[in-house]
Amino acid sequence: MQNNHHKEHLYKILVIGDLGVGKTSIIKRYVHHNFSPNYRATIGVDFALKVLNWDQETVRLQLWDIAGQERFGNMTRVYYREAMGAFIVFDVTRPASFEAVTKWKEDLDSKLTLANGKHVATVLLANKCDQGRDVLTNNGIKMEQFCQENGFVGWYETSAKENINIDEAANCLVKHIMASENDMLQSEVPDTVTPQLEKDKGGTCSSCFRSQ
Amino acid sequence: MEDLRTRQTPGEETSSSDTLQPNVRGTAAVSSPALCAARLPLPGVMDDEGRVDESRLRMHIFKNGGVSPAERGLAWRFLFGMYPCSSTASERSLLQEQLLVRYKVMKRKWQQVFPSAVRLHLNGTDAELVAAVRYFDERQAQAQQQTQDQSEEVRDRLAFLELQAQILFERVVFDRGELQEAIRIIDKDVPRTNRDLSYYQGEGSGNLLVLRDILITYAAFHPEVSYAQGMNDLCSRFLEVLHSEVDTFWSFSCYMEKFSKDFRADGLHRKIELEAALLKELDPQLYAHLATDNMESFTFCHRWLLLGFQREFEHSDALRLFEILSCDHLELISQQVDRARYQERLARNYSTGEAYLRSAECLGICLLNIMTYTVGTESIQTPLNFSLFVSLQPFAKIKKVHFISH
Repeated sequence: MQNNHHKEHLYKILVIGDLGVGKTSIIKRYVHHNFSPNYRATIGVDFALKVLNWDQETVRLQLWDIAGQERFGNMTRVYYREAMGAFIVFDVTRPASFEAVTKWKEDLDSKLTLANGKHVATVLLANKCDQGRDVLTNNGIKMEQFCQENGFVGWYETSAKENINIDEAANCLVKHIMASENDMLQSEVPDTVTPQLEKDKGGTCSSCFRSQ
Repeated sequence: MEDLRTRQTPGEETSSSDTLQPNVRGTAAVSSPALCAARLPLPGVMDDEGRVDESRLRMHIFKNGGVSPAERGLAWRFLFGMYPCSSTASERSLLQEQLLVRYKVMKRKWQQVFPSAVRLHLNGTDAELVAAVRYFDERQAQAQQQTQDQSEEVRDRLAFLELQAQILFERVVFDRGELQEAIRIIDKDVPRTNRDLSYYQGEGSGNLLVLRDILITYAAFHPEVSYAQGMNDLCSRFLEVLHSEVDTFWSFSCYMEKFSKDFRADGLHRKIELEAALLKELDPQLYAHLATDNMESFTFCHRWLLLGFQREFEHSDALRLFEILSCDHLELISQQVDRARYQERLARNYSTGEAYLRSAECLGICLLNIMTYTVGTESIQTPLNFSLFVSLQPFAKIKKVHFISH
């Protein structure tokens, strides 16, 4: 079915944020296209897989739905490992959950960097926008500024319940992940050999790689 | 490989078979004094005055794969330690009054410090929750009435106990910030407890508010543990089985004395490490396979271990498994003496017994063998308990599915 030039990407994406902001709901909406008001609190971490067709290429997003309570904070280092992108979610009806955004971003950036030393692409999601709006998100310019200052590649007002902006936000994240991936490939100095264990890329000289 | 990594844990979304039955039990009682004198109809477990032979009770649970649902409420009061096994029925009757009064005093104390937290704040979008608050309020009013109907003699006795309890808790000072944060999280989590259970249907929805009060009271008086996500699920088990607010609080507190470290990051981390070490020892091939795929951190075991498979199995099975795991029978008996007996019983159960017990027995032998040596070169200080071995069962299944299908 797939021709030989068909390229596959597998990206690990983190979904983090204060508890009860709707991380699980966003993932269920995005992956299973449904919504329930009665999800149970996530314990530890849950996983979901979303497959996208992206310019004749296949993108597999491995979504890591991480429990919101800080109690297990020092386990997040393990969860973050090898992630390529992240959503940080807050609840527009609860200003305290927005205050937690910077904490999550700092936690993420302090524990996770890409091979080139840069931070992973992160999109900010202002969820539950169907239920009313926080003062802050009403002011788009302020949010833009917040994103720039805190290193978010973008932000979206989302609603898992009403299916608003979730695909758009994911596409934005994928676009930035791919850009940073290209960036990393190009920035490699041609004379240096950088062994990479990326089995999904099926490179032309795979035998060379294997013999290393 | 990504299939394995992203596959949902089995049973994750399946609602339990109990969803269709309407709840006939209503909102839990405040206390269940009648049970103090109730007889546990298990052969040879209770003497004439009501004392329980603890090791026989544990063995009975293990041997029979749990007790019947009708006996469960009373059995758990002994199993988890709310009733001391050595107590007589008449001693328990006094104890029950003391526990009731202490709990009331404790609850009143945080309610006085945080009057705004006495009631759950509703945002109006959850009609079920609004109804739940109404059922809870009705129960409160009933309980109030019952207190007023008590005889003078009972009232005097309770007043004395109350004075004692007040002295006991007088010096407790709450960390206001911490407790406020705990209440915030509890209020987020309680409505997210498994509400599909029949226990929380109809008038039973009031039990969500009972659960809330128990969790807040626990958090207030155990600041070193406070509240952590998942406790609502665990406590919900006790509430459903005991159907009494006071008894649930004390039984849950007893349980947490042993397991509260699981709710701290380092405690659970250690348990997950042990699980990994155990698999490495028992199935090096599967362990190596997981390691090549960067899964050696075993984070996917987190929920199994924390909640005792509550979300992985059908509800009634999970309850039974929790009971069997909690009986600690294997951990408590002498290894050497009983090994032969297990093997004998195992052989017998292969022909007549049921699947649960069979796997429990298999693991039992496994446990006895393993407990006699340390895993790897590093000696393990934390005891390897039965639940870690049970947690290995899903691996065997995954291995079968994965290796055979590829």
